[in-house]
Amino acid sequence: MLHVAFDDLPLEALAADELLPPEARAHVADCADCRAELAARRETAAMVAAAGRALNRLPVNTARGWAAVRRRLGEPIALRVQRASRRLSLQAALSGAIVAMAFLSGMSLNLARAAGPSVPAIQTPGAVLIIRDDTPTLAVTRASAEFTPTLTLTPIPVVTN
Amino acid sequence: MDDWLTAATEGDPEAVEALYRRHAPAVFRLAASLLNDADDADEVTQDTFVYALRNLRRFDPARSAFQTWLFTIAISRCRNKRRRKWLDTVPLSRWLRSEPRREGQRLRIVEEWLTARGVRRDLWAAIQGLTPSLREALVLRFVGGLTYAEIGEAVGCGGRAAESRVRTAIGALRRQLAPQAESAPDWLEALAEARS
Repeated sequence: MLHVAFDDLPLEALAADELLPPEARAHVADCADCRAELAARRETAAMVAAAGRALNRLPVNTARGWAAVRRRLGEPIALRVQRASRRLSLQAALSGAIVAMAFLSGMSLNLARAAGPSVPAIQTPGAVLIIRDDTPTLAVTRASAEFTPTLTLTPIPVVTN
Repeated sequence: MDDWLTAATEGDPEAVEALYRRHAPAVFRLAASLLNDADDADEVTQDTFVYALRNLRRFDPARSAFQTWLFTIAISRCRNKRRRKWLDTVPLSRWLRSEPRREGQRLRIVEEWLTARGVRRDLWAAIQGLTPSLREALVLRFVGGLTYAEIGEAVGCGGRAAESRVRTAIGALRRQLAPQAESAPDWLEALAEARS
Protein backbone atom coordinates (compact mmCIF):
# COMPACT_ATOMS: atom_id res chain seq x y z
CA MET A 1 0.00 0.00 0.00
CA LEU A 2 1.43 3.38 -1.05
CA HIS A 3 1.05 6.08 1.57
CA VAL A 4 0.33 9.73 0.78
CA ALA A 5 3.47 11.72 -0.15
CA PHE A 6 2.72 14.64 2.16
CA ASP A 7 5.88 16.48 1.19
CA ASP A 8 4.54 16.74 -2.38
CA LEU A 9 1.01 17.87 -1.54
CA PRO A 10 0.13 21.55 -2.05
CA LEU A 11 -0.03 23.20 1.36
CA GLU A 12 -3.59 24.36 0.73
CA ALA A 13 -4.65 20.70 0.42
CA LEU A 14 -4.10 20.41 4.16
CA ALA A 15 -6.89 22.89 4.80
CA ALA A 16 -9.77 20.47 4.15
CA ASP A 17 -10.31 16.87 3.03
CA GLU A 18 -12.16 18.17 -0.06
CA LEU A 19 -8.95 19.85 -1.25
CA LEU A 20 -6.91 16.62 -1.18
CA PRO A 21 -6.32 14.95 -4.56
CA PRO A 22 -9.00 12.19 -5.03
CA GLU A 23 -6.56 9.26 -4.68
CA ALA A 24 -5.02 10.76 -1.53
CA ARG A 25 -8.49 11.35 -0.07
CA ALA A 26 -9.49 7.73 -0.74
CA HIS A 27 -6.25 6.45 0.81
CA VAL A 28 -6.54 8.63 3.92
CA ALA A 29 -10.04 7.29 4.53
CA ASP A 30 -8.61 3.74 4.86
CA CYS A 31 -5.16 4.37 6.36
CA ALA A 32 -4.86 5.25 10.03
CA ASP A 33 -1.18 6.25 9.72
CA CYS A 34 -1.85 8.74 6.93
CA ARG A 35 -4.89 10.08 8.79
CA ALA A 36 -2.70 10.69 11.83
CA GLU A 37 0.04 12.31 9.72
CA LEU A 38 -2.51 14.54 7.97
CA ALA A 39 -3.95 15.60 11.31
CA ALA A 40 -0.45 16.35 12.69
CA ARG A 41 0.47 18.45 9.63
CA ARG A 42 -2.80 20.36 9.85
CA GLU A 43 -2.17 21.05 13.50
CA THR A 44 1.38 22.26 12.77
CA ALA A 45 0.23 24.55 9.94
CA ALA A 46 -2.57 25.93 12.13
CA MET A 47 -0.09 26.51 14.96
CA VAL A 48 2.32 28.41 12.69
CA ALA A 49 -0.54 30.49 11.27
CA ALA A 50 -1.71 31.32 14.82
CA ALA A 51 1.85 32.31 15.77
CA GLY A 52 2.02 34.57 12.69
CA ARG A 53 -1.26 36.25 13.63
CA ALA A 54 -0.13 36.72 17.23
CA LEU A 55 3.23 38.10 16.15
CA ASN A 56 1.51 40.61 13.89
CA ARG A 57 -0.27 42.04 16.93
CA LEU A 58 3.01 42.50 18.81
CA PRO A 59 3.33 46.24 19.53
CA VAL A 60 6.47 47.80 18.05
CA ASN A 61 7.70 51.20 19.21
CA THR A 62 8.66 53.09 16.08
CA ALA A 63 9.65 56.39 17.73
CA ARG A 64 13.26 55.45 18.55
CA GLY A 65 13.80 53.80 15.17
CA TRP A 66 12.40 56.79 13.30
CA ALA A 67 14.70 59.17 15.21
CA ALA A 68 17.71 57.07 14.17
CA VAL A 69 16.55 56.79 10.55
CA ARG A 70 15.87 60.54 10.35
CA ARG A 71 19.33 61.26 11.78
CA ARG A 72 20.96 59.00 9.17
CA LEU A 73 18.85 60.41 6.33
CA GLY A 74 19.71 63.92 7.43
CA GLU A 75 23.47 63.44 7.15
CA PRO A 76 24.89 65.99 4.74
CA ILE A 77 25.76 64.42 1.40
CA ALA A 78 29.37 65.67 1.69
CA LEU A 79 29.84 63.64 4.89
CA ARG A 80 28.44 60.50 3.24
CA VAL A 81 30.73 60.94 0.25
CA GLN A 82 33.69 61.49 2.61
CA ARG A 83 32.86 58.24 4.47
CA ALA A 84 32.43 56.32 1.23
CA SER A 85 35.75 57.60 -0.09
CA ARG A 86 37.49 56.63 3.19
CA ARG A 87 36.07 53.11 2.79
CA LEU A 88 37.26 53.03 -0.81
CA SER A 89 40.77 54.20 0.21
CA LEU A 90 41.00 51.43 2.79
CA GLN A 91 39.81 48.85 0.25
CA ALA A 92 42.36 50.14 -2.30
CA ALA A 93 45.18 49.93 0.27
CA LEU A 94 44.22 46.37 1.21
CA SER A 95 43.99 45.34 -2.45
CA GLY A 96 47.43 46.87 -3.09
CA ALA A 97 48.94 44.95 -0.18
CA ILE A 98 47.46 41.69 -1.45
CA VAL A 99 48.76 42.31 -4.98
CA ALA A 100 52.26 43.14 -3.61
CA MET A 101 52.31 39.93 -1.53
CA ALA A 102 51.23 37.88 -4.52
CA PHE A 103 53.96 39.52 -6.63
CA LEU A 104 56.71 38.89 -4.05
CA SER A 105 55.48 35.36 -3.49
CA GLY A 106 55.63 34.62 -7.22
CA MET A 107 59.08 36.16 -7.42
CA SER A 108 60.42 34.01 -4.58
CA LEU A 109 59.18 30.91 -6.39
CA ASN A 110 60.98 32.01 -9.56
CA LEU A 111 64.20 32.66 -7.58
CA ALA A 112 64.08 29.18 -6.10
CA ARG A 113 63.58 27.70 -9.53
CA ALA A 114 66.47 29.79 -10.90
CA ALA A 115 68.73 28.56 -8.09
CA GLY A 116 68.06 24.95 -8.94
CA PRO A 117 65.37 24.17 -11.50
CA SER A 118 65.32 20.50 -10.67
CA VAL A 119 65.22 21.02 -6.91
CA PRO A 120 61.82 20.38 -5.32
CA ALA A 121 60.74 23.42 -3.31
CA ILE A 122 57.87 24.41 -1.04
CA GLN A 123 57.47 28.17 -0.98
CA THR A 124 55.60 30.74 1.09
CA PRO A 125 55.74 34.52 0.61
CA GLY A 126 58.70 34.83 3.02
CA ALA A 127 60.64 31.58 2.72
CA VAL A 128 61.28 28.58 0.53
CA LEU A 129 61.93 25.05 1.78
CA ILE A 130 64.20 23.25 -0.66
CA ILE A 131 64.75 19.50 -0.52
CA ARG A 132 68.25 18.72 -1.82
CA ASP A 133 70.02 15.41 -1.38
CA ASP A 134 67.69 14.43 1.45
CA THR A 135 68.77 17.52 3.42
CA PRO A 136 65.96 20.02 3.92
CA THR A 137 67.35 23.52 3.45
CA LEU A 138 65.55 26.75 4.34
CA ALA A 139 66.08 29.48 1.78
CA VAL A 140 64.96 32.95 2.79
CA THR A 141 64.39 35.25 -0.15
CA ARG A 142 64.27 39.02 0.03
CA ALA A 143 63.79 41.67 -2.60
CA SER A 144 65.41 45.14 -2.44
CA ALA A 145 63.87 48.24 -3.96
CA GLU A 146 65.58 47.42 -7.25
CA PHE A 147 64.33 43.85 -6.97
CA THR A 148 67.87 42.51 -6.52
CA PRO A 149 67.41 39.22 -4.73
CA THR A 150 69.44 38.06 -1.76
CA LEU A 151 69.44 34.31 -1.33
CA THR A 152 70.54 32.77 1.94
CA LEU A 153 70.73 29.01 2.29
CA THR A 154 70.48 27.70 5.83
CA PRO A 155 70.75 23.94 6.33
CA ILE A 156 68.18 22.51 8.75
CA PRO A 157 69.44 19.69 10.97
CA VAL A 158 67.53 16.50 10.39
CA VAL A 159 66.78 14.48 13.50
CA THR A 160 66.58 10.73 12.93
CA ASN A 161 65.60 8.15 15.53
CA MET B 1 0.85 53.92 -5.94
CA ASP B 2 -0.73 55.38 -2.81
CA ASP B 3 -0.71 59.09 -2.01
CA TRP B 4 1.83 58.85 0.82
CA LEU B 5 4.23 56.98 -1.41
CA THR B 6 3.86 59.50 -4.23
CA ALA B 7 4.36 62.39 -1.81
CA ALA B 8 7.36 60.68 -0.17
CA THR B 9 8.95 60.10 -3.58
CA GLU B 10 8.60 63.83 -4.20
CA GLY B 11 10.42 64.52 -0.92
CA ASP B 12 7.54 65.39 1.41
CA PRO B 13 9.05 64.82 4.91
CA GLU B 14 5.66 64.17 6.50
CA ALA B 15 4.93 61.46 3.94
CA VAL B 16 8.36 59.89 4.48
CA GLU B 17 7.69 59.63 8.21
CA ALA B 18 4.18 58.25 7.57
CA LEU B 19 5.65 55.54 5.33
CA TYR B 20 8.13 54.59 8.04
CA ARG B 21 5.51 54.44 10.78
CA ARG B 22 3.16 52.38 8.64
CA HIS B 23 5.66 49.76 7.44
CA ALA B 24 8.44 49.64 10.08
CA PRO B 25 6.58 47.30 12.50
CA ALA B 26 6.14 44.67 9.76
CA VAL B 27 9.81 44.93 8.77
CA PHE B 28 10.88 44.68 12.42
CA ARG B 29 8.71 41.58 13.02
CA LEU B 30 10.11 39.96 9.89
CA ALA B 31 13.71 40.68 10.88
CA ALA B 32 13.11 39.60 14.49
CA SER B 33 11.61 36.30 13.31
CA LEU B 34 14.57 35.67 11.02
CA LEU B 35 17.37 36.78 13.35
CA ASN B 36 15.94 36.02 16.80
CA ASP B 37 17.71 39.09 18.13
CA ALA B 38 15.90 42.35 18.81
CA ASP B 39 18.98 44.59 18.56
CA ASP B 40 19.88 43.10 15.18
CA ALA B 41 16.25 43.40 14.06
CA ASP B 42 16.26 47.09 15.05
CA GLU B 43 19.43 47.62 13.06
CA VAL B 44 18.10 45.77 10.00
CA THR B 45 14.87 47.80 10.15
CA GLN B 46 16.84 51.05 10.20
CA ASP B 47 19.17 49.94 7.40
CA THR B 48 16.20 48.83 5.30
CA PHE B 49 14.46 52.19 5.62
CA VAL B 50 17.57 54.28 5.16
CA TYR B 51 18.20 52.44 1.90
CA ALA B 52 14.55 52.42 0.79
CA LEU B 53 13.88 56.07 1.57
CA ARG B 54 17.05 57.16 -0.22
CA ASN B 55 16.13 55.03 -3.23
CA LEU B 56 12.37 55.52 -3.43
CA ARG B 57 12.63 56.35 -7.12
CA ARG B 58 13.96 52.85 -7.78
CA PHE B 59 10.76 51.28 -6.47
CA ASP B 60 8.63 50.02 -9.36
CA PRO B 61 4.97 49.63 -8.33
CA ALA B 62 4.29 47.62 -11.48
CA ARG B 63 6.71 44.95 -10.28
CA SER B 64 5.78 44.50 -6.64
CA ALA B 65 3.89 45.95 -3.70
CA PHE B 66 5.82 48.49 -1.61
CA GLN B 67 5.89 46.14 1.39
CA THR B 68 7.26 43.28 -0.74
CA TRP B 69 10.03 45.62 -1.92
CA LEU B 70 10.83 46.52 1.69
CA PHE B 71 10.85 42.84 2.66
CA THR B 72 13.24 42.10 -0.22
CA ILE B 73 15.66 44.72 1.11
CA ALA B 74 15.21 43.48 4.68
CA ILE B 75 15.85 39.84 3.69
CA SER B 76 19.11 40.87 2.06
CA ARG B 77 20.16 42.83 5.18
CA CYS B 78 19.24 39.88 7.41
CA ARG B 79 21.43 37.56 5.30
CA ASN B 80 24.35 39.96 5.63
CA LYS B 81 23.80 40.18 9.36
CA ARG B 82 23.76 36.38 9.68
CA ARG B 83 26.97 36.10 7.68
CA ARG B 84 28.71 38.62 9.93
CA LYS B 85 27.53 36.71 12.98
CA TRP B 86 30.02 33.98 12.08
CA LEU B 87 32.66 36.43 13.29
CA ASP B 88 31.08 37.32 16.58
CA THR B 89 32.23 40.58 18.11
CA VAL B 90 31.91 42.04 21.59
CA PRO B 91 32.46 45.77 22.19
CA LEU B 92 35.68 46.31 24.20
CA SER B 93 33.87 48.48 26.74
CA ARG B 94 31.40 45.68 27.47
CA TRP B 95 34.18 43.08 27.63
CA LEU B 96 36.16 45.20 30.12
CA ARG B 97 33.12 45.60 32.33
CA SER B 98 32.40 41.85 31.93
CA GLU B 99 28.80 42.60 31.10
CA PRO B 100 26.77 39.56 30.10
CA ARG B 101 25.77 39.25 26.45
CA ARG B 102 22.42 40.83 25.66
CA GLU B 103 21.84 38.71 22.57
CA GLY B 104 18.31 37.43 22.26
CA GLN B 105 17.33 38.86 25.63
CA ARG B 106 14.59 41.07 24.33
CA LEU B 107 13.15 38.31 22.16
CA ARG B 108 12.13 36.34 25.21
CA ILE B 109 9.39 38.96 25.32
CA VAL B 110 8.26 37.69 21.91
CA GLU B 111 8.19 34.09 23.20
CA GLU B 112 6.17 35.20 26.23
CA TRP B 113 3.84 37.16 23.97
CA LEU B 114 3.22 34.12 21.77
CA THR B 115 2.81 31.74 24.71
CA ALA B 116 0.28 34.09 26.33
CA ARG B 117 -1.73 33.87 23.11
CA GLY B 118 -1.88 30.08 23.15
CA VAL B 119 1.10 29.33 20.90
CA ARG B 120 3.25 26.37 21.97
CA ARG B 121 6.35 27.59 23.82
CA ASP B 122 8.74 25.46 21.76
CA LEU B 123 7.41 26.61 18.38
CA TRP B 124 9.58 29.76 18.26
CA ALA B 125 12.73 27.73 18.98
CA ALA B 126 11.71 25.15 16.37
CA ILE B 127 11.26 27.90 13.74
CA GLN B 128 14.69 29.27 14.64
CA GLY B 129 16.09 25.76 14.14
CA LEU B 130 14.99 25.65 10.47
CA THR B 131 17.55 26.29 7.74
CA PRO B 132 17.68 29.98 6.72
CA SER B 133 15.96 29.43 3.36
CA LEU B 134 13.07 27.47 4.90
CA ARG B 135 12.73 30.00 7.73
CA GLU B 136 12.64 32.89 5.27
CA ALA B 137 9.87 31.30 3.20
CA LEU B 138 7.82 30.28 6.25
CA VAL B 139 8.10 33.67 7.95
CA LEU B 140 7.28 35.59 4.77
CA ARG B 141 4.17 33.43 4.33
CA PHE B 142 2.83 33.38 7.87
CA VAL B 143 4.20 36.59 9.39
CA GLY B 144 4.59 38.72 6.27
CA GLY B 145 1.38 37.39 4.69
CA LEU B 146 2.98 37.27 1.23
CA THR B 147 1.75 35.10 -1.64
CA TYR B 148 4.09 32.42 -2.97
CA ALA B 149 4.87 34.57 -6.02
CA GLU B 150 5.78 37.49 -3.73
CA ILE B 151 7.91 35.23 -1.54
CA GLY B 152 9.72 34.07 -4.67
CA GLU B 153 10.32 37.71 -5.60
CA ALA B 154 11.62 38.55 -2.12
CA VAL B 155 13.99 35.60 -1.71
CA GLY B 156 15.04 35.25 -5.33
CA CYS B 157 13.40 31.99 -6.40
CA GLY B 158 10.25 31.02 -8.30
CA GLY B 159 6.78 30.89 -6.77
CA ARG B 160 6.66 27.09 -6.96
CA ALA B 161 10.02 26.80 -5.20
CA ALA B 162 8.74 29.20 -2.53
CA GLU B 163 5.66 27.03 -1.98
CA SER B 164 7.84 23.94 -1.80
CA ARG B 165 10.02 25.59 0.85
CA VAL B 166 7.00 26.51 2.98
CA ARG B 167 5.69 22.94 2.69
CA THR B 168 9.07 21.48 3.61
CA ALA B 169 9.28 23.86 6.57
CA ILE B 170 5.86 22.72 7.85
CA GLY B 171 6.97 19.09 7.45
CA ALA B 172 10.19 19.78 9.36
CA LEU B 173 8.33 21.54 12.18
CA ARG B 174 5.82 18.71 12.36
CA ARG B 175 8.64 16.17 12.75
CA GLN B 176 10.40 18.31 15.31
CA LEU B 177 7.37 19.16 17.44
CA ALA B 178 5.08 16.15 17.21
CA PRO B 179 7.40 13.36 18.46
CA GLN B 180 7.67 15.12 21.81
CA ALA B 181 3.96 14.62 22.40
CA GLU B 182 3.79 11.12 20.93
CA SER B 183 6.92 9.32 22.05
CA ALA B 184 7.98 11.08 25.25
CA PRO B 185 5.41 9.34 27.48
CA ASP B 186 6.54 5.87 26.26
CA TRP B 187 10.15 6.79 26.85
CA LEU B 188 9.36 8.16 30.30
CA GLU B 189 7.29 5.06 31.11
CA ALA B 190 10.18 2.78 30.15
CA LEU B 191 12.55 4.86 32.31
CA ALA B 192 10.16 4.71 35.25
CA GLU B 193 9.81 0.92 34.88
CA ALA B 194 13.58 0.47 34.74
CA ARG B 195 14.02 2.47 37.96
CA SER B 196 11.31 0.66 39.92
